[in-house]
Amino acid sequence: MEQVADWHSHLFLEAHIVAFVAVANHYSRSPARFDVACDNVTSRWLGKATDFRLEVSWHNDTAKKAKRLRETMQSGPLVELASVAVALILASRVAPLGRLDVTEYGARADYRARKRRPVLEISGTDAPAEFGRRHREKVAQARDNPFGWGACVVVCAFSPAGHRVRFSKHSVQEADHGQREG
Amino acid sequence: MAKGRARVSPRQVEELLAKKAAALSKARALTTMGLSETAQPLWANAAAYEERIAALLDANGDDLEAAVHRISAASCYRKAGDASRATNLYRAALAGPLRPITRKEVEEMLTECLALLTATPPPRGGKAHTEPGD
Repeated sequence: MEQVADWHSHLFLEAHIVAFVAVANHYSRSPARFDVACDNVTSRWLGKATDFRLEVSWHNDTAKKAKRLRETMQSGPLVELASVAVALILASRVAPLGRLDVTEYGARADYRARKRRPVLEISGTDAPAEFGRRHREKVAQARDNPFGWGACVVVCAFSPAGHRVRFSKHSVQEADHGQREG
Repeated sequence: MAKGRARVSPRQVEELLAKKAAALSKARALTTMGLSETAQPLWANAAAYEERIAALLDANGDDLEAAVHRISAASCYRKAGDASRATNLYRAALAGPLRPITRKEVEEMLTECLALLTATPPPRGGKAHTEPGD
């Protein structure tokens, strides 16, 4: 997990990394395992696969920081930060998006890859029943992105029954079609 | 003779984007962690970078991207507690070629910001401007 900071060296990710460990360590020791389902995502690494198992490990000293963070932060913001860390692993190792920029848009942050031109919408929950709804919300938000670009959406669900990630890609045409139908 | 725009080097924009991304991602993380006061100068710093980036993108004719960076600058200034600057930048962004859905959302952001501005008493002393620290 600590490597994420090197992969996105222009972003401040220390808090996200520690938050990830605070959340994941609550369920299991290192490594944490995620069942990742991909929709419409193409990459050399993924080939023709549409799902895979992601294992994320961390160091003991990060676990110590995570323990302290967990004592001072509520679950919601922790999961929010942790999900960004997971999404940035996928955006770097699974379907490399290149250098990401982050802009503020009202109350939310918008991540985007300027060269490859998708925006990246991220969300997370520790209530598995929320998973599908949260993904639909993020897809809707992503298709309304200010650039009219295509979008990647990453939603994480942390759960004692097993962590899940849904990673999907949406074209502008699909987005416009959805907007007309919606 | 055709009127030309002075092109700004992509490297200059990339450097500012990197500095802005560092400040903004830190401000956002600290705010999420409940450290809003610590984050305030970082929001102002990120906003100032966003303004500079928008101006450079304007010079390159990237009007939509410039408008989006002005929205970002406005959102950052609002979080830095400077609703006045935020209002001006939302207005400036609305002058750009925004998508209809974005325009609607920015108009809502502007309305919220104006409400905040009218509800807040004016500061007693002059407010120091925050410029990017480079």
